[in-house]
Amino acid sequence: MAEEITTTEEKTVDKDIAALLTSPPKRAPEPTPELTGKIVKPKIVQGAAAHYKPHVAKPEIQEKLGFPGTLVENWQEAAVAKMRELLGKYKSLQVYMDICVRCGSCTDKCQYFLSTRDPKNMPAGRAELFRQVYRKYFTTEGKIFGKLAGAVDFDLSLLAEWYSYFHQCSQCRRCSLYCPYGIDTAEISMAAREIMDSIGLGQKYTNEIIGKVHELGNNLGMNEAALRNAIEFVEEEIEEDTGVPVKLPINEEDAEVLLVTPSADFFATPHLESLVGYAKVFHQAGINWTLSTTAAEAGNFGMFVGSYYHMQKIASRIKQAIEELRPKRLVVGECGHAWRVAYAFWNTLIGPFDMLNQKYPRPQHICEFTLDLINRGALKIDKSANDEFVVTFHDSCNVARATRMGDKPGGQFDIPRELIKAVTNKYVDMEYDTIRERTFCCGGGGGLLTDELIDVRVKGAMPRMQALHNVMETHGVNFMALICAICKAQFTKIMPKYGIPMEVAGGVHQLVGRAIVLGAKE
Amino acid sequence: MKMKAITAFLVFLVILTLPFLVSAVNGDILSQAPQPKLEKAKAPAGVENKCVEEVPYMRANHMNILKTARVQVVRNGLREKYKKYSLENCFTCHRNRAEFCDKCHSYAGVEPGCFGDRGGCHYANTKK
Amino acid sequence: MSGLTLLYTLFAYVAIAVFLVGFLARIWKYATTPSPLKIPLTPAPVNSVGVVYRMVQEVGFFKSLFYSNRIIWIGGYLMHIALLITIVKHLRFFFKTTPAALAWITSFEIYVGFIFFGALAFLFLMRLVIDRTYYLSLMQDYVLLIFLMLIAATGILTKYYVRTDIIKVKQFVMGLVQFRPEAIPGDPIFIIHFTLVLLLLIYFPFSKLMHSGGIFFSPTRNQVDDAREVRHVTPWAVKG
Ligand code: SF4
Ligand code: SF4
Ligand code: SF4
Repeated sequence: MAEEITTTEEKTVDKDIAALLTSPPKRAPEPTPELTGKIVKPKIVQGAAAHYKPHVAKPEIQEKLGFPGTLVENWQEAAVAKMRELLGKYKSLQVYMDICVRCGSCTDKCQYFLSTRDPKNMPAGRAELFRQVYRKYFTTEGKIFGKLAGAVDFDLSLLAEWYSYFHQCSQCRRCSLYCPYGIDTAEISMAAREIMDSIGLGQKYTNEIIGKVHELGNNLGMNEAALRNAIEFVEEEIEEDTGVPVKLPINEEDAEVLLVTPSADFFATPHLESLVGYAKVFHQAGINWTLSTTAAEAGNFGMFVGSYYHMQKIASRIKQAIEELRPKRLVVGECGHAWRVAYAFWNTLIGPFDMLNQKYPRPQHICEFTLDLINRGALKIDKSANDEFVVTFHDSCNVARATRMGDKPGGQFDIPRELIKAVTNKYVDMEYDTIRERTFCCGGGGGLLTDELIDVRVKGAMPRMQALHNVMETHGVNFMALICAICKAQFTKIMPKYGIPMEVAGGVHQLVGRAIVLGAKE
Repeated sequence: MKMKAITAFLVFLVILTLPFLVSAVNGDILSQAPQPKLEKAKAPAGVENKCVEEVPYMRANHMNILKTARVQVVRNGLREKYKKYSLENCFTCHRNRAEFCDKCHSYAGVEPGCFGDRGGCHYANTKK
Repeated sequence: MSGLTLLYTLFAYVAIAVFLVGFLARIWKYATTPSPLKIPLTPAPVNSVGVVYRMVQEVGFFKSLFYSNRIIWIGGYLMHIALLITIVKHLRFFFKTTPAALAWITSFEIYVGFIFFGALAFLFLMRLVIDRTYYLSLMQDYVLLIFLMLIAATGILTKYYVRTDIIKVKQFVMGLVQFRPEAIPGDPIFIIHFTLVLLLLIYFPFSKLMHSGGIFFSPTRNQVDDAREVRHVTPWAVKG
């Protein structure tokens, strides 16, 4: 008897999830936006993007991460309690809940709104979904005036909207740049995802990957043997290409540099080309370096779901690798959100880095590292090796708006550009409004890089594609240099849909690798 | 961290309660408005000894009357029509600027526009 | 003491108390809620002097707004500057001896009330005509604008059209400030003006008007970009 009751309850909850996922029902994919070279502010179309929803994480995945397997029975209460906890833990969330004046200046700044036209994809429209619940349960205004004051019961249909729209935010922070108070919708969407996880409604893609890192040490879920194989393959490739035996050391103790890089660099295209580039840099500069199987992943999806716990747990592998291998310096490969976590959070999460050489930034970005070597004349460069390219650079949003390179503010823009210019002859920037801190996201960041969200990704890439299209037309650009694993994966997949060949996307160190003259050192 | 929070809090507290604080520190708990003193001239026989308009009205509106009269007389030449409001007429009773005008004007923090201090016209009889 | 005076004296104290306690409680909450991670919006200043400079630009010139929406910036900036001047000009009602600087500022007649009203009306209009802000706007956004416009309108009336006796007003206000209640001026326009202001004070801490204090606590704007150099430690996030 008792058993029966539990099963029916479970069924209701499952039904709830099903209802939530199918309202509104899926629609046929819309055609890829046209390349006109212009980014226009659209008129709003309500509900235009309500049907985009990522797959829900299975109970096994959820439970491994310490989240409820499926939507808990009293999810509404649990969500409000979690919200209370987060409001007390994060100044950003608490302040941003209160101070939005709905001035509208963020509304036309988000790539997902510009392309889907759905007002709930306007940053303040997205945040409004969170604020509706906040008002209802945490403000006097909402308690007294209810719906009139924009306070809404946290019911299943609102949860459905949460699930949909908080997974159409790549946490790129473009809205924060343009908001008079710096309101960062990324912080709000992280909190929303943390709340959804805590009531058993997780996103499959992100949570699966977090599980893989915890288990195997990298997002791709490859074991040590696979990793060693991949690296051997890279070594062979380089030797075949250049005739020089460039080594990619693994787990070398007491090396000068430990390189932590996104695991995609070991397998995916064009990521692999950047790995070749790093290896050539180290080889040619004669710097003793190593990779680590413990820290074979720079990425940290813990950030996407707003979970401090998982972010710290993932980052702790880096600390462990440092303790095992005792390197003197820590360098991070090309990855946007990974660099944010490394630059801005590692020191807090797993610091202090007293065991590393104080003379160098801890951690250091691979672009900082390579440019420094070039400036000191430690590498011989043949720019003409890249003469077939006219290059432009896509500022990855996480690098641009959440980190720095070098000593001066804005180094995150100048250093990669200087590096590109040091290895190529032809460089042009894209439009003013789409570069540097004003950059648009590639459209696939923040845990959106999953197949079922392909429509959202294609649309999210629209502003960048327009800007790229322009420089391709006017300057003959045929290479867009990237410093982010997600950007690379996203663009190579999305660009063909816009009629742009995928080879146009590649890493900065892909260019570096091509230009380095091996064995030419005196 | 805690220190920062307390400092921020105190800064806001002080700014918001400034009027109360200043009053308390000044020990200036007198809130009575100053009493302007009149040195009335004797009215000629048969003329009522009172102001050109009702006193409460004058308190609120004298500046408008003066300004209108000025414009009408000086710019439009309507001296006769506005004779009643001529400043000379006022001065028969309100003789002493310091004892009359300035009493309220400094209390309210408003500079009278008549006199020479800031671009006004009248110097005679009216020095502070 | 007349019934009206008694009523308004109590009303005023209640409003001031609600405002002060409410506002400061909010500030206390903002100030004490931890910021576990470094999240300055970069490029950000690398030292605290730079952060002060950044804040001055944001608070003093609405720099981010200037670069993101020039039209709203014009309306918003005019409105806030007019409001600031209006508040400064009103300060002479709160200090028995008017500080010379205040008297000096007051002596300029720049029809600031009209600018204030005009800017508010413009912002109201903008809310309606831009489809994105029309979608976002809630009841309280309109209510606040209307409230402020009414305050501006009644203020303009008492100053330019139905003059009120400001000596009486000052006496009344000074009575409140020095806790020696005085008679409230009977002028109905003034009473409406005053009532609206008190209601606004009461609503203030519960409203979006908290952006006035909140902006100083926005982590994306007030943090120093020094994550690599200085370890950022907050109580719940880092043990030891
Ligand atoms: S720009 Fe900022 S204050 Fe304005 S609507 Fe957007 S989030 Fe709100
Ligand atoms: S963080 Fe980026 S994706 Fe998210 S709402 Fe803001 S602009 Fe849009
Ligand atoms: S993938 Fe690149 S552009 Fe997209 S969110 Fe990450 S850093 Fe930003």
